[in-house]
Amino acid sequence: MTLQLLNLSKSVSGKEILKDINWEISQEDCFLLEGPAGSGKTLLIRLMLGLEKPDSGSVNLLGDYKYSSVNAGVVFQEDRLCEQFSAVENVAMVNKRLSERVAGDELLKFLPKERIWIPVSELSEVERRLVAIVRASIIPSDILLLDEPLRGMDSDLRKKAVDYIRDRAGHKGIVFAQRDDQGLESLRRFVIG
Amino acid sequence: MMEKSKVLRAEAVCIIYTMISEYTFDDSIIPNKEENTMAKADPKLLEMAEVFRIPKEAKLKYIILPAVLPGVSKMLSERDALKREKSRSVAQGGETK
Repeated sequence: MTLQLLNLSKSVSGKEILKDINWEISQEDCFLLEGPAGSGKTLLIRLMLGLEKPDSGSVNLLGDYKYSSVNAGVVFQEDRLCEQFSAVENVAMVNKRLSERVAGDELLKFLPKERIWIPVSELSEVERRLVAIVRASIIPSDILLLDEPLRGMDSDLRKKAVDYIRDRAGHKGIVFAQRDDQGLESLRRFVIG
Repeated sequence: MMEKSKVLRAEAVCIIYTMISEYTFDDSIIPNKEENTMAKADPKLLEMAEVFRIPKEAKLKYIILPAVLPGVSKMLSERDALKREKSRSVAQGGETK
């Protein structure tokens, strides 16, 4: 599966944010989507997911693809976790075939045992980010789209999180949208804004 | 942790609510029922559910019910936690009943 953006343009509230974006993301690709705040990184990801329609241009799914929109593992800019439920429940809920045991085992790679069963509302910002990363990484999907996944993490944790994401992704294409490139220096860059 | 009787009562409330919802699916009885229920749920979580293709049952349990009936949702969560604790202690051989 290749995700193709063709001459994509989008304005928001009358202001042109994205203009003539052309990009292809195939299996095995790993990109850093780079740009300052307000440059349209989140908007571009929303267009890729089909959550927004472009003003002009198109988002195409090339190859023999059975879905009308891309099947993606996503870390949103906001955590978008179900607050009163635990990390294990938040990860396990996204896929019928994903057991709480498997979700728990994955979360234990980042969080201590006593933290994975308390409501996520009681976790720190970084812990919540890690829950979102695990949730996106372990479900079956065709691409990973990660919007500021490493926010608030120190360099050691960044490396650990990036290694985990790349390991779990296998052959999937990955897009990291980050304002800074710390921990992502080796990635190919796609710059906007 | 909640008393067992309260948890069972909460479960009964939820079952009755679900039955009523199914029965009154006809919009002539409660117009726009589904839209009104969805309107109370967090739109960002609903969007997340759409992106992840979350199963309907999970969407109901984790996103819609907590928004529409937060008290019942909390009681059901505690019931689930009780069940997990029980199966953990059975697995460790701590409880035979």
